[in-house]
Amino acid sequence: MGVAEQAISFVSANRKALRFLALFALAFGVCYFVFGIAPGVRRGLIKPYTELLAKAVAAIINLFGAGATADGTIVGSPEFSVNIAMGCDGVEASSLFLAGVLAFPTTRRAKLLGLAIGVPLIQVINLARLVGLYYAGLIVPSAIEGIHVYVAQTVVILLSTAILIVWLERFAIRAGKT
Amino acid sequence: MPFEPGKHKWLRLVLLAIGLYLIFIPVWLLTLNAIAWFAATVAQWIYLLLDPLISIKANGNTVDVVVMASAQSGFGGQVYSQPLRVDTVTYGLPVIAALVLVTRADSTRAKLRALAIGMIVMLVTSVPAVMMWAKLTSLQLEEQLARAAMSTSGDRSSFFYYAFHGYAFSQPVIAVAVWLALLMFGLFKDKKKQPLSQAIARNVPCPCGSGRKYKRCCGRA
Repeated sequence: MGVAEQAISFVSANRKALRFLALFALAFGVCYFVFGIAPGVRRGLIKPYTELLAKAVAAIINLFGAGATADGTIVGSPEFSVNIAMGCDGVEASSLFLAGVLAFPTTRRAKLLGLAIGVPLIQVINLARLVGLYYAGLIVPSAIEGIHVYVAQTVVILLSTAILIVWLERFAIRAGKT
Repeated sequence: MPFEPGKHKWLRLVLLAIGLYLIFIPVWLLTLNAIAWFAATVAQWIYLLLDPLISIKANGNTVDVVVMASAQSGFGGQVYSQPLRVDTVTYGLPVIAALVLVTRADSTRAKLRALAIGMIVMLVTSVPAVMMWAKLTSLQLEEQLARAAMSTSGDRSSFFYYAFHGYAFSQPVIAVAVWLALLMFGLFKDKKKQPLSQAIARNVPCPCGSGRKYKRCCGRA
């Protein structure tokens, strides 16, 4: 069998999977561009949201006596300060979930339910990551860059993947069958 | 949809994947020099066709991008360079390795095949990242020269800045997408051998060489 025939056979055998993956990549790209790059949305929506996140982080760590204040996107305390910059706002993780939900062929009700529960849950996980990063910087300042870049981001993405798969299993596939 | 999540306890497996990922990080850090060499070499080959004034070379676990101003710009020979830390664009590699290893496969062979394909795809995605960095470096030089010449300077580099950082921040997302593709294309399953009776038409000569029809020879019920 020639390469062209093999490619045609592969496409026809995996049409649904290819459609899902193409829609997933497209939806992720669009979501990431809109929420992560487009200057208007970053200024008008993401920056105020990030400032709100900074206030939430300060409020949580103050429960444990940190004495922190939020100034814009910076959470500062006498011991340590963190700036909630691009990439720390949970846009990637939410875009991943959003893309998976939008791309999967299921009912509109299942999609709305997934978005209503999944996106806030991912934002709560991201908030926990920011609080965790503050304490990581306080306790092991020498390792904060590695924890920030490699560990925290990946953990949030993998947990978002778990939420996506639980949604697929419990809601999307069942709803699609009925 | 060829996706069977019901066979796994997903939350437990994702937690296991996080643990494995943390174990793989030191191994991946040890391979960064080789990854940098691969990404820089391939990106340089491609860039030679696009813009010979850009030089891309591996330097330990970084990739050095050196851009030379053209003679037409009036700043001929001026050089601008920016190193790229390869770890920031390849940390999806230990993510895909961890995700593949925690996923149930029909056999060790199927799992190793899925692992190899996943790693190769993730490795290949480091090349466009290096090329995007080279483009960003080149645009930043152009903008510096435009400012020096007091001419109007656009802000094209900011798009590449966000695109590059988006790509780098999205490494775990790319790994998850590759893993989903491996699952959906059935790469964790063994290719089952088709039974001979289904593979051969009943009225064709028998492959054993007897000269009789298959249905009257080896294909007799």
